[in-house]
Amino acid sequence: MHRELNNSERKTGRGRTYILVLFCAILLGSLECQPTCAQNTAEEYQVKAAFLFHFAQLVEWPAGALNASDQSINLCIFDDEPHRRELQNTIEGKPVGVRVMHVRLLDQRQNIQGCNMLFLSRDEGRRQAAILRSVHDLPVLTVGETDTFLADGGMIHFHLDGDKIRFDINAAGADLSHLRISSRLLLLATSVTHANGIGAGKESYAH
Amino acid sequence: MESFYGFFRLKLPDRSFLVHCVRVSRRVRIFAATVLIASAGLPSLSQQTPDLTQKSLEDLMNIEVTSVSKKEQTTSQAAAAVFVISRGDISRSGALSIPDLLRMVPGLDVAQIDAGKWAITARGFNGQYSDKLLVMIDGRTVYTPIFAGVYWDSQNVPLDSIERIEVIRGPGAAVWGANAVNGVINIITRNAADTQGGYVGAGIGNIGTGTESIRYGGNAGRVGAYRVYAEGLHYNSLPTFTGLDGHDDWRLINGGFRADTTLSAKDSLTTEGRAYAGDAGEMATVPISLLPPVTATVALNDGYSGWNLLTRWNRTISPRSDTSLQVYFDRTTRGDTTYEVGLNTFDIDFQHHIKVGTQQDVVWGLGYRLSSDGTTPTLRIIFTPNNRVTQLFSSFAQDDITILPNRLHLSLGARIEHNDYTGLGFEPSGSLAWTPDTKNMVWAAISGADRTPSRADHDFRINYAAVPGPGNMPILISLIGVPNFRNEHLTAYQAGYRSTLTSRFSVDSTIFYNRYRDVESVEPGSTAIETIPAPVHLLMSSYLGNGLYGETHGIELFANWKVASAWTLSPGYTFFSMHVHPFAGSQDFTAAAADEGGTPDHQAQLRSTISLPRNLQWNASMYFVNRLPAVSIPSYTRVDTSLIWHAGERISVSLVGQNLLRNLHPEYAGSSSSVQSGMMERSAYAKITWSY
Repeated sequence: MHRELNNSERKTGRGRTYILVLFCAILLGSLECQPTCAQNTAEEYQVKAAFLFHFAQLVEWPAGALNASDQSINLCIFDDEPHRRELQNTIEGKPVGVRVMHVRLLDQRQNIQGCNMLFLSRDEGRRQAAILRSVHDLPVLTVGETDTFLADGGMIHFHLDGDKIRFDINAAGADLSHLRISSRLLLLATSVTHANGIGAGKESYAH
Repeated sequence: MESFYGFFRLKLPDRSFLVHCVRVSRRVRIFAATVLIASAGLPSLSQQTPDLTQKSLEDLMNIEVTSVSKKEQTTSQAAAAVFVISRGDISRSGALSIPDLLRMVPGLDVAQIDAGKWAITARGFNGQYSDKLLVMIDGRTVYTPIFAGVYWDSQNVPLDSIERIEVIRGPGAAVWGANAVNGVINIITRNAADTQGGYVGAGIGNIGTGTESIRYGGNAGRVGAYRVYAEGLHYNSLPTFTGLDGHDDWRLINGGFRADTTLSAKDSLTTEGRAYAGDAGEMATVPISLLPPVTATVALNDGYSGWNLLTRWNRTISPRSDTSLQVYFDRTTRGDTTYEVGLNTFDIDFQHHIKVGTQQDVVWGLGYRLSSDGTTPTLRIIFTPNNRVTQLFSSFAQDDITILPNRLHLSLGARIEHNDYTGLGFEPSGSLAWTPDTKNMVWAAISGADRTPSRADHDFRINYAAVPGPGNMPILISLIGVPNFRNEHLTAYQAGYRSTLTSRFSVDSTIFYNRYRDVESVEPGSTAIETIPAPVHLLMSSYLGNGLYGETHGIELFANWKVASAWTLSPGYTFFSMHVHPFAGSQDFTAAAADEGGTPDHQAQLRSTISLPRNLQWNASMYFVNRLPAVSIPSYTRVDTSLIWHAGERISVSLVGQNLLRNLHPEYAGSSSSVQSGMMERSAYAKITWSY
């Protein structure tokens, strides 16, 4: 048995050396092609945050909906939002006209009083409908990502076309909340749903 | 690299480990230095992320987006049987421990053995030491290389600190490494930035006082955040099938920290540590003495303690490329009066994720693990040699290739590993995913995976019993591991279909066919006269072998039905069939039958989640598990329910009932072990949590 062990130890010793050499070779050989790889790319939720920032500029809230005293537009996300850091880092404190954009974190049960926008990432799936129902007639711009977001009463829906971000608008939902969405935003949307439920002359998207 | 070595020297009393470190430190230094050189060249290339809000909407619409974390595919896109337990699922579940939580995963086989022990696996070969399921907590493996399996009693993470649990059924060896044969469970804890402020939770019920936890999270401004926590739990012993006390109290004290710091716009560092101590008892039939031969059923108390420290450095080189370097050390000891094992693990892991062109998304990585153990021989359990140091070298690569954008993806991956028992191993995997539209996905995969020998398979001897023999000569009945134990090998074929049929109804289905070879068998040995331990006695031994091969196949179905906006129903069903046969020459007499009859052929579940007015939430789950002939467990239906009241923003109260349908039924029994299992009790439990 001793002889067997010695043999196997010698064998494994050779294997180790081989693998170590392999490690180093791969490590050294793998340095980035980074400068040439620099293309027009960015992290998904940083880009989505920038979209949210533009939405804030292109939506008009009804009189009195925005807090006159604190000069802020509050984007609310839940505190377990997996992408909160990307959102905060991209838009926190950015000026929107005379106002300033703030990202507010909500507890699961927290009142959405004071929220002007609400972003539900795809992970909100199961509680989404209840949340949207609770704000459906309040002046809160709701933005989400799941397939059922617009059907559940949400207003702007992100989707991906390949690696690029697109959005759909439920104008009927926005009307109900007395939010006015600028025509520029409506033009850029892939599809727009009006009160009669029919797309406004845009082909329904396929991706 | 002196720091690595210094770290060992300071922290480790274990001599053999130290000696070995001196020997390997040169190699480790080369490796680590290379990693550092590779990384050090990069900061000069990094640049500040441009302010995206300055771009026009039209420009934003032309940006290609990437996901920052390495290939964190959403469940609906993965070409594998994946189920994710989210934080919402955890807070709704009313679960008291991680194994409790895992019951909700369709296709997973979760059976409680006694107050602190579980048998958990996917796709067969279940047991107290389920050796084909890899479990990791924040990238640290908790699969023990000593007995091959997971000690769930010592690995309980406070549930309120868990971000999500990813469960992959089927092999994940190409990415996660050996022993990810039948499945992988990744427990991922929350970022410290998400657990700011204080949290206190306490609960009590007829099964014990569990999850008394306290947590505090603070931050250092833009630099980062931290949390510290402590948890204590005590579950009372359960009766055995004879109605007597099982002496299986489970106690655990658990404390630790996690710090997440931002080093620069591109670099982040996570550091976490944990220390724990506890014990879990059992009634076991063990040899007490050889002269005179006495075998008795006694109460044993398995005490365990340990600590670990992990740090992971993530670097986003560009939106198309990121790396992570992770290092951890783990020390764990465990034992009762019949065995004692201490294990030190040092692990370093490097991964790099890069998008190449528009069609390829590559992850590759390198890993090294040093395990050093020490055991104390007893009359019942002996490891020969008593102490052993083993090394594991691994490298893997996986490439996701877009054949048709948004329609057809091919993924190819492979891992090459070298372990000290069986040498080089190769574990390949290939999968194809077809998404004809956004609502449907079909996938298929073929993968190979190895279960590598554990210390027990290789070096172990357990003396089950000492009985009187002829002519007053005692007989010792033993099971012995063998140095030529080989890898158990799996080739797995699986396919799945996922569909969002309507906005309210989605289904996920998987079929699989697995072929195993060199599966562990128990071979009879000849009777011999043995002089050690004294006195002279007869040895009736059996040996571990690789004498079996077999096939399993099954179907796993899961659906999510949003009946109303406040009510979700989640039904699930699993069919499983297994056939194990001996190779010519094998005389296996227990293992094949234990494998075949140790996993239920039918399992079904129905979970319901209802949001009620006044911040109330009511959840109920029903699990049906068919009988386990190998371990004489009759079929059972288990009903658990929880009512959760969020009394304002900071306080929540939960009432949990478990095993409501039937008091005192067994869920599992160790087939080959001499340990008595507990009878599951009807239980009620109340818990209050307060965050501030």
